[in-house]
Amino acid sequence: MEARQETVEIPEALKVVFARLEEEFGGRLLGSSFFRGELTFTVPVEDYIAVLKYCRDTPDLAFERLDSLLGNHYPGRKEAPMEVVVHLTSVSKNTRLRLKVMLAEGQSLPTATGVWPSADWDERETWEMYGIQFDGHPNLIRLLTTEDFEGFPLRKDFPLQGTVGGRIRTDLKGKI
Amino acid sequence: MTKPVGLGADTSGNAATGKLEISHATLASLKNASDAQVREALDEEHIPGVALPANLEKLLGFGRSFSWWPLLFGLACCAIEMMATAGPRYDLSRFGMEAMRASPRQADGMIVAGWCTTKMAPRVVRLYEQIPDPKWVVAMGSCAISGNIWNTYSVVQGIDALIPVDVYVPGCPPRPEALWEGLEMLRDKVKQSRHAYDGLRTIPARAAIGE
Repeated sequence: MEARQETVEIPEALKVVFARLEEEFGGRLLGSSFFRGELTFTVPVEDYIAVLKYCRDTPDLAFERLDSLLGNHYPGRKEAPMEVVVHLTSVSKNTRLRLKVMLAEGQSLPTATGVWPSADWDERETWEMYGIQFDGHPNLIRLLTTEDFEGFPLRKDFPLQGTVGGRIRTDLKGKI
Repeated sequence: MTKPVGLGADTSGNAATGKLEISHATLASLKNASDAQVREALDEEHIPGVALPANLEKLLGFGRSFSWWPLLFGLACCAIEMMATAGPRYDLSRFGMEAMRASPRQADGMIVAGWCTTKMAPRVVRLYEQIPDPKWVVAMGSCAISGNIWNTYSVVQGIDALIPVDVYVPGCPPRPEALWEGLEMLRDKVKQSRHAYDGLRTIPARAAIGE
């Protein structure tokens, strides 16, 4: 791991991103890593929206684009099993940044739709698959599964094999 | 047939104009005759040229088998192989099947290419129902046949739980040759006017919810 990190040189633009974020949020950030040319910060829930807005609005960083917003489930992490990962892209600076937020079971996160409207569907999908609530989301309903689906399929405790609904796996009553 | 067609003793038609009629005497004698006797009498008597001893359904099936138009409809990776089959290398147009209709109302059936999710299931049933009779369905690939490895919460375990299927083409995905073979089998069914659906047009998806 160490040797690999040494072979990749940190680009100047990412050094600026690292310096500015450390300068602004300093001790409050929970951690950072640089691996294979990718910079990652772990952000506390309270500073989540502030960090996103700072990344978007600071001219040095200029992350115009939210690439993706997704969830993760680590049942081994007892105190914070849920995680939301945000990927940002700056087209003008040619940089990418990954932000992670660790959440306790049932803990909600403020919505990012106010910062990037494109977070809408990503947050819907994250809620649908992991059950992570996004406070203030305008339309938090199921996106990929059927309306009457129960459970959060990408959690590790969800059964791998389908067990309900017979061969059709859903009740088609009222749908056809 | 030994004597010239249409010049029998019983015909009252004009041989010069080629106009032929069956005499009343012949009709009367055929009233209680069997099929074979009728055919023989007609052969003997008045039918010029070639007669096809077949029923209408067989004739229609013969015609349909050379222009079976599938619905332009792909669900997953199998659709890529379906496109390759329709493309110039395997060239389905040799068999009159390349005209994939974008509207179910103009199609003669559908090739369900790929896995069908629970969200897609109502659409598959709706598209099937919009295809006018007679219609045939090909289940292409393991996912459409049985769900394959996706024994999960979101994938229908075989589309024959939704709609009647005529031909199953296994493979993951099937090569164009395999689909071609399946379509040849389908052509045989079309020719013989055989269907997977029964006389009542039962749709398994509707039967499952008691409709």
